[in-house]
Amino acid sequence: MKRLVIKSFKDDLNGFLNLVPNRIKAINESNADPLPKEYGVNALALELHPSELELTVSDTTEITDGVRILSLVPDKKTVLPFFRAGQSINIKNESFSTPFSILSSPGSDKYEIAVFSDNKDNVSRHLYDLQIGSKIRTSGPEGFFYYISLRDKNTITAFCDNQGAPALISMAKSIADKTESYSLKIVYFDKDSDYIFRDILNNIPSVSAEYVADYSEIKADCGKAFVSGTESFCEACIQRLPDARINIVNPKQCSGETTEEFQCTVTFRDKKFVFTCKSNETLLSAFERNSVPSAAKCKAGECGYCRCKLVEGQVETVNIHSVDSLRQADKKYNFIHPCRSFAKSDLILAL
Amino acid sequence: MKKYDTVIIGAGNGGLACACMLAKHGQKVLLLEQSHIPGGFATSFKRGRFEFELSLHELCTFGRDENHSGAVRQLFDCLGISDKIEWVDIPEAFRLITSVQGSKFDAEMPFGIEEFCEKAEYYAPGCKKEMKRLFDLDEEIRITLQKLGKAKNKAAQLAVLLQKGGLLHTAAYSVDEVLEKINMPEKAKAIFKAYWAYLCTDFENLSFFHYLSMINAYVELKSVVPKSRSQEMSNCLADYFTSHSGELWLNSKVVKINTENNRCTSVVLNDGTVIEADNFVCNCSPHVAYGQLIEHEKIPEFEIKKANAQKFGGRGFCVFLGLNKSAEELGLKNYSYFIFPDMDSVKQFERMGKPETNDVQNTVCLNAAHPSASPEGTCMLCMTTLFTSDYWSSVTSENYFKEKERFAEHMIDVFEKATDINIKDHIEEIEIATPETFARFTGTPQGTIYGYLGQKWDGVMPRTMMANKKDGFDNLYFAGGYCERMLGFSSALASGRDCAARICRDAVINGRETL
Repeated sequence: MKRLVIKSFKDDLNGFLNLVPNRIKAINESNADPLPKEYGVNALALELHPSELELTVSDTTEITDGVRILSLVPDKKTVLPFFRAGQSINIKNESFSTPFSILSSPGSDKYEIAVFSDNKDNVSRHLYDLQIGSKIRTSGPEGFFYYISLRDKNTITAFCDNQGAPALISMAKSIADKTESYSLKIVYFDKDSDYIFRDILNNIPSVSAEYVADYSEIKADCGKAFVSGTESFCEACIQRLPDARINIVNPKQCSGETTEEFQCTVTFRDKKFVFTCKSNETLLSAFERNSVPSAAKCKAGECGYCRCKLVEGQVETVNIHSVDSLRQADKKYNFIHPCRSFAKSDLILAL
Repeated sequence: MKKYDTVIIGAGNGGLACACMLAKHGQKVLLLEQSHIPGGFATSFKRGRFEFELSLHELCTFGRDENHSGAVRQLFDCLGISDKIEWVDIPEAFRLITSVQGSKFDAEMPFGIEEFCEKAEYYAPGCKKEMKRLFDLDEEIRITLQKLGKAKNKAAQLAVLLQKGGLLHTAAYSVDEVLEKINMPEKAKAIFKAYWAYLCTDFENLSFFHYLSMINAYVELKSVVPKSRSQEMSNCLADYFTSHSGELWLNSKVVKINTENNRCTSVVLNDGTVIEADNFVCNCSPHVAYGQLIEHEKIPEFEIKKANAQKFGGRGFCVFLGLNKSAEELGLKNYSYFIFPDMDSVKQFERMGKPETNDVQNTVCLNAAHPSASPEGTCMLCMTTLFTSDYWSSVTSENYFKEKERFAEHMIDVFEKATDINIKDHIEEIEIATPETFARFTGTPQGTIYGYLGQKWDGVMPRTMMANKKDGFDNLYFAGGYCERMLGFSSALASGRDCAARICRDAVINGRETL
């Protein structure tokens, strides 16, 4: 092969020999100022997705017996993260946490959530009795239940029960205040015809809501339906609308009677937690009772933050419909989502 | 006594590879990861019925078989894990859709040097000999580099350099400077230049040597992807590490590195935990290590100046689409689509600074290589581009969602126009990753996913020639895409291995260990 000379032998050789001296020269000619502590893109990412928020209860309204709406505001220095109507925040109390749909509009200067006294989880019980001025810790807005213009049709039919209504209220408000532009038809199901959020919904301009008390009214419309509600409501809807987008509210962490108890050993960093878990509770609720740290957020198998390794033992995984975000590679390496897993034997887990 | 020989900050490709190699050598290693999952960019996520690959397009230097392999297979063989990962072969090199001399140019290129040159001849008659000459040059340079590594002194090195000359003559030059000397038709040059977005440095600045070795790695060795997305690789490496006495701590963000007398002494986690070790590895950018973790006054001046002189490479933007028709039904025949308005990399690099003018994309249809990657009757498309400016730091939180959707729609339009395939009517799932997304999950400055830009003075060659020089702290090392091998999966993995080798070498020099 004929030699490929670029400039001349001498120039090419000098170019080669000068590669390092030129780099050292360029570095030495640069400045020694401190490197930035912050970057615009990273700052916006943190503003949109803070790892934790401290919010203050600014108002609490009982809309019916056993259901209160809490208004949550940040301190003066903090900007409330913008969110997509339909998303949730996860609220923490000691080692317990529960997701709540935001029912205010993304344009609002507060997050509103609905707390049901019937929900027996530790966080709901704690929140229900909170006074104005109390402080709480929450995650940033989370979840994938929201309208996307590139994906969804211009008209959406959305189904909810009482617990699932807040997410749809936020979506309706986002249309009313022109944050979003599509048309939303809500079908509100309540077998007791109480429709706890009916007044709130009826006060939102430009929303069409239909109130039904029978599952036969849950009918397929054109396009993919949105469904927001408790696990049993979502399951009933999915039978009728198999490809609906679902938002599971207050996912069950305990079901039926305790039939057996197992020993569970969890390693986290260089610590070891040993405790008893019941056959009818999710592993995540056993973690929370025993103060095992977990990054859990959605508690419905969707967000994947509670992912941990099953080192030894058997679990049963109960996923709700198609909601199972466990990756193929995670299945191959025996990872599980403790929020949807129940012990079937003594267990060793690694966080 | 310290509990750990080495503490590694970050379980990305570089951190994982380094951790595995050190564990293999019997070191007591702690690998710290801020996220809840190891892998860094090497991961996947699910939306509805689809599991999307986050960032890997195709893995080069794994090679098509044991006899045609490169750095990645050698690393995985060394760890005994090559066969533990299920691999999928990528069917063809690429499809290039661009314009050459004002007319649309659409070329489908195969793997294999002979096949590649033959196909180039079909599109650009008369180019085969010169195209082949470029691949031969790469082989010559590789042999020269191997000999250089074995040469005992400067005189022997010079003799090796002079013997063939390919390395000597091209090492200092950019792709454009060398291609000017190669007599090929413009269409052939377009084909040769098609991989440029994989490095995202314009051809006036990009080192010819670097580009040539990359294109050769793809064309000669072919590429693969793990069947269960790149998380399979990350899980496999993490599994090797933890089963060789390595400790992997997830959800463990390092907030500080303490130093004393030009040595790092310990790291501090976000919950206040302090961990001491003999050596420290950063699988993050020097900008993060020196700007956020170590006190400015303690850092050697040359290291600060170096970081200040360097520029960030491309900031990532990806659109992930789950489509409700199969690839076949939609007419998506190819795996990798390179779409450029034209082949002027200097102009395109400039235009990639703003959403209004960024029309460059590399789109991958995983189903073209792995038909059952998504349920029957569906397929997935991942569109990637890079931003060459900090445009995304000027977006406000109120506009952020609208802006990202507007640009995602633009990328879909560009793809539809280039391929004449309707995508928009078939979108079942969509997710959009912006520079904010990459910054959020990995902390990378400005959402950079391409390490430091390959500026003319700061290409792979001088970086590598200086890599063994210790300018910084005595016991602080770097691994990953910001290092001398630069960006990309295979570079980051290989850099982790280099880093482990340096730590072992220094341990011998310092008398802490014998060979």
